[in-house]
Parts: sequence; structure tokens; C-alpha cells
Amino acid sequence: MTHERRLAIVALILAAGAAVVGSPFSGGRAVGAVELQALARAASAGEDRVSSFELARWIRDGGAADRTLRVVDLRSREAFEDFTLPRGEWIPLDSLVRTPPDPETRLVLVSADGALAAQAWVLAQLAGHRNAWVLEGGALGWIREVLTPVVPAVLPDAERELWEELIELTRYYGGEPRRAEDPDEPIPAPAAPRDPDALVELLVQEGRDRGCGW
Amino acid sequence: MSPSAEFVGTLAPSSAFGLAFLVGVGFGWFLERGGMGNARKLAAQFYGTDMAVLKVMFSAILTAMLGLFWLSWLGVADLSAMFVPGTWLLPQAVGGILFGAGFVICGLCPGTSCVAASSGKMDGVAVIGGMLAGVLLFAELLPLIEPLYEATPLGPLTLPELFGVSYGVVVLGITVMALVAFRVAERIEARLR
Repeated sequence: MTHERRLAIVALILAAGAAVVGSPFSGGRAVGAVELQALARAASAGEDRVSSFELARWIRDGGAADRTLRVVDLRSREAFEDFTLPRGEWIPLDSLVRTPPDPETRLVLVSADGALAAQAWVLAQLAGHRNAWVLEGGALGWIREVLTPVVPAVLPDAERELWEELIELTRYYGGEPRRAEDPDEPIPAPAAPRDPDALVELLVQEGRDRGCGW
Repeated sequence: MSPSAEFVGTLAPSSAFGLAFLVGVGFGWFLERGGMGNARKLAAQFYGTDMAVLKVMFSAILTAMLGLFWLSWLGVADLSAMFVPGTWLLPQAVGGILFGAGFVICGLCPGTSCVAASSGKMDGVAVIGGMLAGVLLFAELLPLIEPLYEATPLGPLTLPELFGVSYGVVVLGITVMALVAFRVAERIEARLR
């Protein structure tokens, strides 16, 4: 028997064994090792989500031609047609999993109140898509915080710039801010938006610290 | 997480790159020893007179496929950690045709051009120069060809998903296909030489 024939037989035996075994993942695991602690840390530290204010700024700053950001709306078709966020694309969760987007694209996941989007975020991390965030508060949060935000009757000096930017963004998206009726009512200022590249860098550094080859 | 890092434990990213460099050197050495740095030998694949390219590459595919399957099953490697690039059907088909035309004209592909250049063959150096010029031209033309570049996105698509069968069945299918291809290749060579 020639050397080549022996190798062919060995290859066939290994391949036949593979067909019997079926899955290359021992224990039938369908996904790879997941750094659960890292995911839990990211979720606890708020690195898994973006506020409506941040998203509003990202969309405005990126412009219509920005292909690096996608706003994925996971709600029902009816809810999506009823109200669509700027740059919103209707992609049901099973379609998103079946045909995942380019891992280099930044994804903001939107559901009605954020719960389904949070589940989608975990699935995105499992699929290796690090540049994904949940829109905090979901579509309802966008309406509440960007289209109809409540702003202080008198803008405090310390946070004037943030409030003015929020008001400007509200009008940019066709909304109208509501002034608080009680001038003494304390209204928390919106958190300063984070730079999206810095957010990605946070996650990438997290990965480097864990020894991941990102 | 790179499978190599998993395999050796707490390998730092810089060490993983060093390991990748050594693997690359080994890959180049095996290509050169297999005669893949010779443009005439590579071009002969397309004329059917020397099917070494098919035999070498398909052997490498079989070795890697069977090796990774079983290493993953044993828990030594993590197959799911491997990045699967997306499929864009139309632009990749167009790119494949261009690549094939260039391969036949030059007798070298990007990898083997580096092998040829490193073993002193000037045609390898010329192909590397042409390849880099092509990369630059592509970058300059990208705004014009972007609609084609982004057409028909299908996401990461694997054969098990496409055919709805298990990984193991695909492994068996490709193994049988490779062994049949080796036998057919030898018959073609015998007839055309």
C-alpha cells in the first residue's frame, strides 16, 4: 500500500468519525467560550448602553452618509411603521442573528423599552460583535428624552452647555422641549455624551486586558 | 480570543503575533519546498499538465479541516472563536474572476509571489509590486465602485448553514471531494503530459 493511499484512508476514517460526531463543539456547545464576567462587568458599568442624548448626537455628527452606524429596530413591524427613529432599520431579532451585520459597524439596538434590545446585545456579544449597544429606555426613551424632554425653567449655569445642546438636538429632530412648570423642581441634567470611538476603545481595551486578539 | 492563545494558556497578544509570524514562516517554507514558488509550475495548473497546486492546497485544506474539527471537539481549540468573514456574493465573484485572470497571467498568487520573491525570483518581486499597485488603485476607486463592493451581502455564511447539515457531514463531503479530485487530477496529468 502506497503512502498516499494510507493517508487517504486515515483522512476518510477521521472524516467519517466527524460525520458521526456531527458537531466540533464538545458537549454540543453551539457558541464559543464567552467571557461571562466581562459581559457582566460591561453591563454593570453601563458600557452596554447608550442614552438617547448620545445617539442623537452620534446621528447628527455622523451625517446621512455615515455607514459606520446602524440603528437596528427590533420592535414589531407595526410599531416600527407607527414611529421610526432617525436612521432606524427594521430588523427582527431572528433575521439579525441569521444575517449578522459587519462586525466593524456600530450597532445601536432599539426595542420598545430596551428589554429585547438587552437580550439582542448579549446575542451580539456571543456572535463576536463587540460594537453593539442598547438604546437606554428604547424607542419610548427617545420620545421622552429627545423629542419631548423636560428642561428646567431656568437653565443652571453649571450645566447650561449640556441643556442647550439637548434643546438644539430636540429641535434638530423636530421635537419641542417642555419647560418645567415649577422653577425649583430639580431636573437631573443629561449625562455628557461619550465619544463613540472612546466607547469602542473601552471595550477593545477590555478585550486586550483579557488577552483577546481584537 | 484567538484559538492560539487558548491553546497555550495565557499567551499575550504580542506573543500570539510572534507565534503567527513563526507559523507564517513555516507556511512559506512548505510552499517553497512544494514548488509553489515556481510560476511555470503554478500556471501549469490551468493547462492541466501539472496539478501540484490542487494537490498541495487541497491537502492543506484537508489537514487543517480535520485537525481543527477534532482539536475543537477535544476542547483544545475553540472553533467558534474563529472570525468568519462575511459573504458578498457578487463583488467576491467579480474579484475571484479578476484574481484568476491575474493568476494565470503572472503564474503567481499573492502568497506564492512572496515565496518566489524570498527565494530570489524577480517575477515574484514584480507580482508583489503589481499587487501593491492594485491595492492602491482599489483604494482610490472605492468611492466609484462602492455600490458593487457592498452588493449582495449575505453575512458570514458557512457550508453547514447553507446546506442545513452538521459540520461533520460537510467535513466528510469535502474529504470525499478532495480524494476524488486527487484521482481525477492524476488522470488529467497523465493524459495531457
